[in-house]
Amino acid sequence: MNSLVDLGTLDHRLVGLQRPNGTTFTSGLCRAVAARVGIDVLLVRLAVVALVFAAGLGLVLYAWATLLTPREGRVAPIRRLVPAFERWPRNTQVVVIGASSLVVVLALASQGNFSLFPAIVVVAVFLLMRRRAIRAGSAHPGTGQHPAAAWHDAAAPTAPPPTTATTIEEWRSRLAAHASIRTGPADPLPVVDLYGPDPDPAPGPNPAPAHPQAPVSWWGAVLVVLLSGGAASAAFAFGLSPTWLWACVLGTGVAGATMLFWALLVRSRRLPVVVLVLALGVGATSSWMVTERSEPAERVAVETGTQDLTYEFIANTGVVDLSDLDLDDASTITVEANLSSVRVVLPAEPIRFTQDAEMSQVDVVHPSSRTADEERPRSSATLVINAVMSTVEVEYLS
Amino acid sequence: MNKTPRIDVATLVTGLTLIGFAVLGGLVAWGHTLIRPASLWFALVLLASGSIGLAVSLTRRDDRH
Repeated sequence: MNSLVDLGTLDHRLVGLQRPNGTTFTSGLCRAVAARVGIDVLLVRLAVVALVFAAGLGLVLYAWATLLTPREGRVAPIRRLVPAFERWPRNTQVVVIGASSLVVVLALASQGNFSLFPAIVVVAVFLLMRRRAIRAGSAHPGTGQHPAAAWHDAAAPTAPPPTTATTIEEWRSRLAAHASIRTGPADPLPVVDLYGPDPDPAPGPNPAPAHPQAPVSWWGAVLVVLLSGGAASAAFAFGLSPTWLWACVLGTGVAGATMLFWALLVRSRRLPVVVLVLALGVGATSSWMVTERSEPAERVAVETGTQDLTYEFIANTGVVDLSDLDLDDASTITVEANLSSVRVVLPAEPIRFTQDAEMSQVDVVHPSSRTADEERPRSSATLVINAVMSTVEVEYLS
Repeated sequence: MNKTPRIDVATLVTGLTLIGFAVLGGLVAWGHTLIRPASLWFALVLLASGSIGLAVSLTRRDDRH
């Protein structure tokens, strides 16, 4: 039986933590932690704020803790947002939480140029303290806590009140008797939650799934083939140009749309897997062929003799061929490229080259025959490249 | 008790992927040039449809009880 990881994994005092109701501006997590640990809530809040500066570690931990901690009388938010989460093994849940936190911290650190050192120190100190607590718990069973207990504290059986030594000894002897009949030493003790909801009925040897897999519909496969084939044939019939390109596009699109509607509307039957694989292969191949047949870039009309030349490309492609530009021409050539692919050809390297590239790639291509120590001709022109989400290739002919 | 049958995620993801491929091919056939390598756009389509499929799988209710 899997259950949801809670903050008891971090500290046994936080087992079964619940956030108070009535806090609207904040999640109430700091208040709940402070009440459980027995310190002032201001200290907890300061600690969280301090951890935020450790590459955002506090932010991530606060978010996960809020998701995993329910409000009083309610379920944890993670159960509503991702119902499948609590069905995963607890170790898997811990790995997912750790990995996602690591990704967020690394992303924040790289984007904000934060140092990871404080976060590493915090995690290392926490792991050290936790290890010492576990060791102390195993050395003094009465004062500490076994690590396995931290995983099961939320539903662990409550020991009888130690009113007398006889009661405690009786409880220990019952546990020892139960442990002796376990199948293996690594098996955990059974978990019984006397105050929890009724457990699921014991499954039989072959429990019937609530949702058996829907039967395959070959008629659906025929429908997909007919519709996509009909759409592709329509491209020929109506003489769309270029014909075979549009035939591939229409066939792939109609097949995809049919499958999408089938998945959303016809849930009682599913399409055969072999049809899905074949459609995916045919669609990927045809689309790849279409993209490989892209038209060559159009050359832009170039004017020479003027002082400033400006070329704008918006979601377009083109070639600015200035190979005939005089080397003594001191023009300023400005290329504005937005969501475009542009190639600029110059007779020689300009005397000044300024580029402002945002999420773009600007490549400079020198003639392959030129050596490093060779005297390079220079153009008197100034080249300015302003690119936004574009690729610009600048080629020097000499 | 009648239960709504679950969405077949495989069909859903395949449909979304094919639609994405068709959009890419349509853009090129229309005369646009992809400003990045085509493989990148294909990978983005696969990533997007896979993410949607994963989200659908994770967020649907547990019908075992």
